Amino acid sequence: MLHVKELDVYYGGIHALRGISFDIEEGKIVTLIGGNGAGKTTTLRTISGLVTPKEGTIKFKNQNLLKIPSEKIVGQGVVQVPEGRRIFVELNVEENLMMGAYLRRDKQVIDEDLEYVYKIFPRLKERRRQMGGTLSGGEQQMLAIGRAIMSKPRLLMLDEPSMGLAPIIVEEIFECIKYLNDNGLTVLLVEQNANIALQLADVGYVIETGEIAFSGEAKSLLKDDRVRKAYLGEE
Amino acid sequence: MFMEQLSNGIALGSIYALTAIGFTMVYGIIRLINFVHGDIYMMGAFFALTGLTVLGLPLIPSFLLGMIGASIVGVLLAKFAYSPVFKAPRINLLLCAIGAAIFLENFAMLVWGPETQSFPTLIENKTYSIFGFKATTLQLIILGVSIALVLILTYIVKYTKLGRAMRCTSQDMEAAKLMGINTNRVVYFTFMIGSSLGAAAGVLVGMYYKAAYPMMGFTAGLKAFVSAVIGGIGNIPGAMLGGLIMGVSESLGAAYISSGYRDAIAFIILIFILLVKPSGILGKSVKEKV
Ligand SMILES: Nc1ncnc2c1ncn2[C@@H]1O[C@H](COP(=O)(O)OP(=O)(O)OP(=O)(O)O)[C@@H](O)[C@H]1O
Ligand SMILES: [Mg+2]
Repeated sequence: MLHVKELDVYYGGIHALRGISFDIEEGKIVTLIGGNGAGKTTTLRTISGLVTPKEGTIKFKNQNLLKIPSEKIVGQGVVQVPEGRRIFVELNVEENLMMGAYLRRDKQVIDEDLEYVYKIFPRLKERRRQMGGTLSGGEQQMLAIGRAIMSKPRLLMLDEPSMGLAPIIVEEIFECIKYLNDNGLTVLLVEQNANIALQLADVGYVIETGEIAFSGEAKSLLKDDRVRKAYLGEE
Repeated sequence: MFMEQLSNGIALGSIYALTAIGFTMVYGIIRLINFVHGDIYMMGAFFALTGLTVLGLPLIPSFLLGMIGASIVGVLLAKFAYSPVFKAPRINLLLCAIGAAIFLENFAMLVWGPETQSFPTLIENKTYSIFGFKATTLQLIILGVSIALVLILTYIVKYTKLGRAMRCTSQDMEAAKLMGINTNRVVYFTFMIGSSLGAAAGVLVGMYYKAAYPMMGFTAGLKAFVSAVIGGIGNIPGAMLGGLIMGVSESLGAAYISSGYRDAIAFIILIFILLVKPSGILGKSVKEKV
């Protein structure tokens, strides 16, 4: 479904991605794990068109995403839940959700999708008139995911959804990702928390200083010594 | 005397408010102290004057010509002077704004001449007195036009799709892009609205003082900046409030303290507000991003 080939990205003089390649099959959960500054966010930003790579190709369903301006990529169904959630703090919960549907015209289906989001996250429904900025971290993450669902994703990319959240909330968020995937959504999950990410995912890629160090079936990566040493804190 | 000064202050304040709104909107979207805004106001006055005297148009079409002409200038500047450096450090953008201001001032001198041009008298200026409150026709027109424009703006920002896109873009431009918002278009649209409000203020001032001159935007731009900061920069209601406070206190101050201090009063208020509430009256205190 998504094919990323030999991406090279620079920020000024900094070589952030050095020939990243990976593939995502439809219906799968693929995770990209790696430490601070490895290039995970940069990879997602490049797919969403927020940064332009120097080299490389990104193909989504046989379309060249690099030829599409960033604001149209969402319309293709490539939707991102950005690092740090980035919800609109001065809009209320429902307005935030509706911003996800900004490009859509199918009013009726939008209403159904809103109900779908409220069904997945009943807490958002209770707080629908509350300002985004007043939500707790976990609720903000739910809102960011809900907002992405409102964009009708075919590929949902999540950048460290577990960041800064209590384990019980993380579990809830990951349950939800699993639920969405069970309903047919393809997921690209970026995480520092390799343990939970690999348990959920089908396929894993390990990214180190802008390169894919190695990859494989998520379940086998969990048992891989290199992963256990570097990312699961085991000796 | 007090009543006359008060209505003069409110009229001036409405004009400052209109100017300050455009200023604060541009800041809210691209974090630029738009030094060219005062000159857009001047361009508005001159376009309207050209409509009245050279083209012989009636008042309302000339007024609209001023607003439309200046908003085209604003959008062209955004496109050709600012957008090439949007991604560069803010200081480059600021230098472009200063360069554009110098360009527009000289352009106006070239086209309309450096002298003060007089605005024709279009409206018979009568004084009305209601419940001891005294105001002239022009003052009432200034207030009425300002209120109407602010209502239209509020409607656009609050209830239209483009307005929602503007609010999102000013809160978080990158997140706005991820929603599918064409943020470049939002930026141009903001320049268009901001410039047309600034231009309306310029035309109103031209009618009020019956004069237009190429450097008229300089103090106006400065006062718009001060009004915006007093009210909380980036905040539209704040800019209106800041403008009104400036207009009224300037007018009362000039009458009761000394007219020589007229322009200094603006800065005294600014210093006072910044000491008491650095983020401005309606501004939110900026939290450090984690
Ligand atoms: N806007 C930027 N300007 C310059 N350098 C940047 C910018 N954004 C990221 N970088 C650099 O690019 C590299 C990759 O950063 P990136 O944010 O993609 O890492 P990450 O894997 O998401 O890390 P984290 O887990 O901490 O979020 C880092 O060395 C970072 O310093
Ligand atoms: Mg990151």
